[in-house]
Amino acid sequence: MAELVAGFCLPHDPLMASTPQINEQAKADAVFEALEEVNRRIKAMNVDTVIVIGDDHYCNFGPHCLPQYLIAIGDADGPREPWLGVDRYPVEIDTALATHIMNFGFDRGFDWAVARNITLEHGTMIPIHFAVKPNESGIKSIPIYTAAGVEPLLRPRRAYEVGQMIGEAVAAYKGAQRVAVFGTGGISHWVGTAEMGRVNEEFDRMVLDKVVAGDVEALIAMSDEYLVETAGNGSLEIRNWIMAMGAAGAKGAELICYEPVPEWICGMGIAELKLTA
Amino acid sequence: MSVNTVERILWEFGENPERIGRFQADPAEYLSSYQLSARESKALTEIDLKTLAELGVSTLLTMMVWPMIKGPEGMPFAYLEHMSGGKLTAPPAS
Repeated sequence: MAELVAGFCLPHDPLMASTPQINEQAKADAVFEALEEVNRRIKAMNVDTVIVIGDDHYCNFGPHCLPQYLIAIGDADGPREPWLGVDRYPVEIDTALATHIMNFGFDRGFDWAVARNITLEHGTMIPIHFAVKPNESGIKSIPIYTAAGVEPLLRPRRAYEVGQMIGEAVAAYKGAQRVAVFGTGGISHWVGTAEMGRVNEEFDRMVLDKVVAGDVEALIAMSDEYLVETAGNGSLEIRNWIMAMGAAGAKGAELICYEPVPEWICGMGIAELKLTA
Repeated sequence: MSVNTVERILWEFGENPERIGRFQADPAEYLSSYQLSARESKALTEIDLKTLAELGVSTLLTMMVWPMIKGPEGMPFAYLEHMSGGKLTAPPAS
């Protein structure tokens, strides 16, 4: 049977790709090294497939169609955005497992939106590019997009429930895949507003403390109004972390790296979820 | 009529940048096929993204279209200066 063997929370900041050189280069280098460490860990655990949970930034989806949560099951490439400075390349999806997760959800009241062919925008493509490294590792991906940036927003409780369902689906799969899950985005950042470039380190460390303690309920309890006011509209993405924690059944986490990086307009947190107490 | 239509217009700029040239060539003609209030049309015509954001338009979209219309060299500081009503005079502090 398939097994979910690892989980991580990590950023998907597009400026890592478009602007890798910054004035505070030591911070950037620490983040890049942490993402390398994630890649080393999934390879050491012989991971076959990474479920990458990110959110769309009004890029793939427009006002005409705004999925609450979408799973990519077929063909993919990325990145969608030319300004990232990364040449578009194919991303191999674990179609069999993705299709199983889709059907597992359908049979249990989770009405996925589905992409059979998608060009991935940075919400999933950045973690794939920097931490899955499919062209080097051969590891497959299953991209999942949430409504964590564009209203109407996926409710945090539902994000957790979807995550739990994903974890159950992996455990029920007849294949032999070793699977990791990435919850991506955040932490504090103000996207496109006049406050863009502000980082709330105190908030970020509080969130990371909750993740390390395995206190997902504390994250779910944070209202959208509180998040936007305290940590910017970009902090709404912690529902991606919540979904990953649900999938992994996270009992806690090990903090790998935290850096507040105003030049990247983001508080950058990387942690490995603990699957057992 | 609503921020939904404004968001559609901005999203379509991102989806098909060729539309921006048609918009800039004749904004009134371009916008005539959409149902917009006078304030929305004026803000779009003047690239007044600050007003659009105040009307409720997603700042994911305003941030996306600024460099497409004004040029990438204005990111982020010219954009931030615009969104802050001209008050920003220096890059955000670290």
